[in-house]
Amino acid sequence: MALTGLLTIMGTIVAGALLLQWVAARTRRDRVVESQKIPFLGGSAPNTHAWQRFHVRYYSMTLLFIAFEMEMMFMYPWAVVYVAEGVKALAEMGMFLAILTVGILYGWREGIFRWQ
Amino acid sequence: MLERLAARAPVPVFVAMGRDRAPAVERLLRNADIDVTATPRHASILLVAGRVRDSDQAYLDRLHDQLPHPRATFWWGDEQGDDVDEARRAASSDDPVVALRVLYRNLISGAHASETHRLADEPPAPWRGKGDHGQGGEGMMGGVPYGRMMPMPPTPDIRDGLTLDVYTTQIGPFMPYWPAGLVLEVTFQGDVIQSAEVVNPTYPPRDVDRVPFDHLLHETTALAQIERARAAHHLVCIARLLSLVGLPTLSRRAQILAARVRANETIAIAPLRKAAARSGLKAALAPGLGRIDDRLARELGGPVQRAAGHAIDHRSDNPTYTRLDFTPVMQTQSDCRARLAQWFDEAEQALALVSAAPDAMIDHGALIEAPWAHRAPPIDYRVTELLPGLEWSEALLVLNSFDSAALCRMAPLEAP
Amino acid sequence: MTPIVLTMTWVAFLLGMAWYIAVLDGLWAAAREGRQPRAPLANPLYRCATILRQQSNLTEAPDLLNWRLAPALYAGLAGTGVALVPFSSASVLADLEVGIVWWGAVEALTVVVVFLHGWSANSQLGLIGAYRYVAIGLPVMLISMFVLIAAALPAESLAVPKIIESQHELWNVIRQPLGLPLFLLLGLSLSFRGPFNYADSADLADGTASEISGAARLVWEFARLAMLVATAAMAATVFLGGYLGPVLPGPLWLLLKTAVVLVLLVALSHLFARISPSRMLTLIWIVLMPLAFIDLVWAGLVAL
Repeated sequence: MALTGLLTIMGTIVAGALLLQWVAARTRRDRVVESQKIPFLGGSAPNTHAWQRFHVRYYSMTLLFIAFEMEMMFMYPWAVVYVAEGVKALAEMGMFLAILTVGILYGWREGIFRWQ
Repeated sequence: MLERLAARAPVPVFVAMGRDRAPAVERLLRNADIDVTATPRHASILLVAGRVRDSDQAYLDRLHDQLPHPRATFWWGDEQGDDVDEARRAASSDDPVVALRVLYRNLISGAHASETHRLADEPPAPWRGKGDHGQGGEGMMGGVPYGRMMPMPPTPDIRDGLTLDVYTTQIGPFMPYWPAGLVLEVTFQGDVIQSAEVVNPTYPPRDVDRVPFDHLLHETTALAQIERARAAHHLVCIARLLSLVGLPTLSRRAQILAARVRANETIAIAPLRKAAARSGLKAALAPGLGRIDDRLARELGGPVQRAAGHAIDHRSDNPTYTRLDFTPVMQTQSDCRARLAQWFDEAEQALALVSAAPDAMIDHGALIEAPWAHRAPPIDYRVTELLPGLEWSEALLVLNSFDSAALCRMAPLEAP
Repeated sequence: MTPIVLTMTWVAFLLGMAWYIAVLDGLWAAAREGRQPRAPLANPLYRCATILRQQSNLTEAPDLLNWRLAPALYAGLAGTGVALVPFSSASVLADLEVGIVWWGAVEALTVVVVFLHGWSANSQLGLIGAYRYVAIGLPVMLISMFVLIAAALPAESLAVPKIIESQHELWNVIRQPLGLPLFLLLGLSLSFRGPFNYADSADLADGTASEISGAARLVWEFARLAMLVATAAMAATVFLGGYLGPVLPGPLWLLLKTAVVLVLLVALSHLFARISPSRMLTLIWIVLMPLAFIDLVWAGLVAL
């Protein structure tokens, strides 16, 4: 029920926003001419298209991110049963986090947060 | 209804900075009635401030066409001929805010027709026709849309040696936070600059703050006037950096202080400096960022040289200044942080000199240190040597940590 | 509240608070520059009209579908975020059993949508903004999820209303003092403001927004404000007890608390400089992430 509501809200806003863009484009008579389409580079024109095999300099950081993101999946159910399970739950998650923290320290030493 | 509301908004203006107009445009930035946009896509009026090189006309036309309708061009300067109608120009001595508002209102209401495109309405190269959907053929993007190729073949990166696409483009001459007039051909890998080549040099700077120094060549000038001009010049430089690191309100405060110094008001810089420090301005300028070697610092002279630890200042030899116990302030590190601290220190020192000797006069012809870099470095020191290896935002910080005279000297001078 | 009234309250809250942020921005700037604010209440509306009056732009070979969809999705995500927030004990638009998980999805998809926006214009400045934003957006998301889960511990539930009910005796802001400040950073990051503006910053000529104009830009700018509203409302709910409070009716309390959190967020966005992306990345992983761990352990110990 709540899920349907959220999806309805999402759908309504997206549809409304697309409609606004469509109507705004339709009610204007002036067309976007070719010279207007050149990407902005301070007056210059690019030699090539911008889409490229972009050098993502933080890619090793994203691996560390995935480790934590997976951990997050375990944390959702953990949070619900935490009080019932008590100290045991605290210790387990503490160990899990401690192991992952070693990953942060290792990554830091390897310089994965630097832009290279 | 929409028109009426829109007409009351701050006028969205994109500034194409020509020669000599930087201080005047900075006055505009302070006006709440004007909204200086970062990109022409958000503007309705293209403000051409000052004269533009003939060879830059094509760049200006491209910029013009990038503005969304309704759009208009406004010329601010003395060089415009009679072909420009009254509604769209102002003399350089005039304040254009009222004229801009009127033009904008007429543009919104339709009384002033939106300007049509200046460049040809055709893609840079013919490409339609081939392929299933007329997309121009085969390949990663389905042909060569707009005649533009995909980015260049892979080359090793200068930071980590990874081999990926490089993207080469010209940038400028009308880029925000970019030396006016400078066109560089920049090669990126990702967001890091791999190499840069000067295509067109910067416009030579000519500041309002230069006036008392030029004056001094012929007549006896008040020390207060000279030092106020110095403080104003440095405050404007500081304002640019503040705005670049995402502190626009502090930047405007610096602009306002500069204007008040020029208007002979008494101001204190310490509160601004404190606010900037509290905002983490130092953290935004990483230690060592933009460090230049000693030789370049000495060749440039001025505050850049003193930020590198050389206490060289013509004022030390002037009797008026020695009577006031003048000693040059300096930094040691020669990086962006040092140059920023140097601007603050020198501006504060200048104001201290004004209050210590409000009536002192300096004889004409005396050699007084200018607030900017005043010598030309040798040919092998170019702005293009400073940029490779820097991430884009770092590169802009480095560029803006120099005064415009230094930048002009580091990019080759215009042919006379 | 009936569903109709509830929906209208939600719409009014979203629009009203977005307008409120724009007003705050104007007032803050004027105060710091020491000048009179320019028509502070109406200026946001004037600017909306100006943007809407402009022609919608195109670039050479853009990914048009994604380009138009990105602002719409961004606004949609913000809207569902606000819908999770209960206005009083009996009135919540989306009473989801796993509200916190949905909010986590909103955060993650925001990173995707902002990237898409920068990427689809096929322009270098937008592309740089897009990639740079992902670098910062990802780890900030982790921090916020840690503090949200910490807030869920005493409630023994991932439902937002249950988290409010768990704060009857003591608000989470006191029980878990690190939570709110860390969560506020998320607000700045999700709407890329001030020190976390890595997507649409001045050095990139407004980055992912550098090529848009007209209605698409209006939706984009509104979505940024709406996302800030959503984070503020979430912060007020999870850490400041939401609708709980004496004398005044519940919805009013939520409104007041959200308004106060927004003042904090606007202040933060104007007060701090943006540091280089690599330094920010180090700061997040080395300083802020351990603080989030401490918050979690702290909350865990208190909850036992």
